[in-house]
Amino acid sequence: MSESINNREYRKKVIKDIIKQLHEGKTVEEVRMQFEKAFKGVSASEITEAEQTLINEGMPVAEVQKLCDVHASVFKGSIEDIHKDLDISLIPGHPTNVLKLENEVISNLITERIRPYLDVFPEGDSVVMLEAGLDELSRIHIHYQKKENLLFPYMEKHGITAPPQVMWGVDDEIRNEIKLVQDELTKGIENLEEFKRKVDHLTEKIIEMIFKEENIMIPMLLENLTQEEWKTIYDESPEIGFLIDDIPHWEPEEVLEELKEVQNAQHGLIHMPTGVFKLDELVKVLDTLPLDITFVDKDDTVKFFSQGKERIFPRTKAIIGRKVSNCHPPASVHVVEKIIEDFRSGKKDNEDFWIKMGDQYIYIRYFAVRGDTGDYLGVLEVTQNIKPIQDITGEKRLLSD
Amino acid sequence: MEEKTLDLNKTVYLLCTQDPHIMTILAKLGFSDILKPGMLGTAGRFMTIPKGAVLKKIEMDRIRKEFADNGYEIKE
Repeated sequence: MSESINNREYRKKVIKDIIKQLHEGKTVEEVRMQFEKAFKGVSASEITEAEQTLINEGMPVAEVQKLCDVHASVFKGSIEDIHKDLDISLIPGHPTNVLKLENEVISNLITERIRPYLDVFPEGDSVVMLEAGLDELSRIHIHYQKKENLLFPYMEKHGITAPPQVMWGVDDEIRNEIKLVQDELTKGIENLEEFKRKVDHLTEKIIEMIFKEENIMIPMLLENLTQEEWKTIYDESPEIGFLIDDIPHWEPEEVLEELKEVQNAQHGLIHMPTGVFKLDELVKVLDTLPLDITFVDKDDTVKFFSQGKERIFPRTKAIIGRKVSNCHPPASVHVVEKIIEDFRSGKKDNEDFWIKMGDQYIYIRYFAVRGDTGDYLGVLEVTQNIKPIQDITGEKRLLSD
Repeated sequence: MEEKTLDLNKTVYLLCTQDPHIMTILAKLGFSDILKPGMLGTAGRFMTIPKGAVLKKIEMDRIRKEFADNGYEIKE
């Protein structure tokens, strides 16, 4: 998250600057505008954090405290007040707002389209209706995927690791149980009471998850994430999808010019042993490859993924910089860790998997990436739908129309 | 014996760090997640006992009684 770090650095600089000016005798009113410009829409805890960093870096506490008057005049209240008054999850289009709206959809689905039919099951049209309700409920994976791939990475980045892991485990259980009751419903129910109990248990678990998301996860996120991080989450959410239509447009109040400059400065040439790429060429070349690639470096950190048009497994920018063990469901983490261990020790150089997914036949290959002297540089994951390739027969020697 | 109070408005994190015995009692009552490493310092900072009771479906009366039996005065 280089941009948010840069912004944090920038804000720290602004604070230092303002403190210096106060020291030189300027009045609160005089520096107020500068502060307002740099910190508008920024969470109070981020300001506190910036101040804390300055203190850690050796600035006397008393100096930093001079800023309190400035906060107070800008925010017309103390830090605690801002915390209480602002419910960010009410801002239309903000990722937490979308999350809550989706939870409403899920809980309505359960109370209106699942439980009533479960009560009278298998009378009348309840079988068909329950089937439809469960189908709809299985879309919950979209909601959970956004959480796991977009929100959890930031929680981890801010040092909150245990709650996402616990939550991900329960998400997996829920997805699994939905599938199980769906299967049972289509294949035939052995024990009616048992089946009803399972669906009941499942819906209970989902309602509990909603409670956890809204009462624990959202407050934790709101306390820790920066405006830029929320913006990234907002921008990347469509990649995974939504349970609601017409997501309101949300634009944080200020996207700093400085941020844009940093991004512009990144254009340049990449010199390789066998040629030279412009950055945009390299990006597009990798995206045009008929396969999806993801690279994890020697420290098990996700460094890069290509963005082909039809990615088989969605990836979001939030995973960049994240430990690979945090990017997989708890149930499969040990498999991933084993592969990496074998690559690192030199025991293996590649490991392949092939799975069926709808109409697609997915070939997932992992390669150890090694330097010239055989030193371990990381893992390259290559994923491809090989169905069209397997379907090839005969020959084609002429140009198609 | 010193005065022990259980403030239901305080977060579980605050309560348990100030008085670890509270954590033992909560775990015994069924708040098992509290013992998972890393949970108290994160999620616990946003949870109060009444909120947790809703989530875990543990009767507040049972909680009140258990703490009273352990010599706590309950502050609502």
